[in-house]
Amino acid sequence: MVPQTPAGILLLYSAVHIACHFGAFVALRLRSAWLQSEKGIFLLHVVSAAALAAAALLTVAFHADGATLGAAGAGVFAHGIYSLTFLEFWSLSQISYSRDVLLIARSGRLPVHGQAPEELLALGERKRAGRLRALERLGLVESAAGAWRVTPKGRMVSGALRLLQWLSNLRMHG
Amino acid sequence: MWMTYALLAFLSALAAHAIVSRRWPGGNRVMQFLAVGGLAGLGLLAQLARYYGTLALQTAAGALSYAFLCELYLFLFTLALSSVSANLLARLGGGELTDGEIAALYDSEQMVRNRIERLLATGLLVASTPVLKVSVRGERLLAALGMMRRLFGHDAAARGKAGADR
Repeated sequence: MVPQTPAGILLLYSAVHIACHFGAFVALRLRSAWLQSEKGIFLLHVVSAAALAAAALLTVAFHADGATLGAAGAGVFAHGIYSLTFLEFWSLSQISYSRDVLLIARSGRLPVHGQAPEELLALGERKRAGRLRALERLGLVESAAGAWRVTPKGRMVSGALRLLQWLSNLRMHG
Repeated sequence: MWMTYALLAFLSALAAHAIVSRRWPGGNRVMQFLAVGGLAGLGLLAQLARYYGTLALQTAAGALSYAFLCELYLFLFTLALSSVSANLLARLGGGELTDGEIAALYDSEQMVRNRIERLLATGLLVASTPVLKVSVRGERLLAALGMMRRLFGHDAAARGKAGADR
């Protein structure tokens, strides 16, 4: 049952493209340090999504009918959903603070009242210091005269975050 | 046209989320968005099926583009809710902060307390005096995270890093 129309072929290609991408990651993840870094994983998905979008655009350029356009959109957005889900799960399982808290609770060292274990406090401390440095490395914040402030690039990202917080009526906490 | 319908449905879901989160400020934001987003999604599906047909590729494209936008929004607002970096950046957008002010805002003990409160509220931790214990739900989450760590190779990477550090 091989598809005969450009739309069908594009849809099948999109499914195979996504499946191969995941298969390649699973097969190679333990052999490459690059595939264990945030930057590497992010690039892996951006390049793959761009390749699928290019294939979809090329197909639409030669067969500009509604069904092919629909197949192109379905393929590209399916990749978007796959990539976003992958990146969420990847980062959640890598750096989850909740996981650290649950693991300490499992070992019976998290009191209901009183001070939290030292290792948990130290982890929070490392998180704060690390994040500030990461934001500086990304060019989003800068330090001047003993104070931290956002750069013009950081102001845009900060504005977007504040809009999100306003939209969903969130209060700020770490 | 399917993209326009998807965008309109997404904007409606955003507006409804803004209203619902103000009407019930104590509610779970993710569940609130899933409820209003689900309703807007059903409306979108009905409209797409009426316009293109149930099995048309354009209907699938419209539904997938809407699902993508919703997932992106959920990802970004949960990031804005719980990420230290996102919070810090949003606060700095409101004005300069000194090291001391940042340390006071993101006091380790307060961060731990906030997280424990959230884990208790979501039923992942239970108080079993004198200590907090992981609930059955929490154990399931730990198992799922462990499985994901193996799938993504995080445990192998951590072992490699620890080996290199020694």
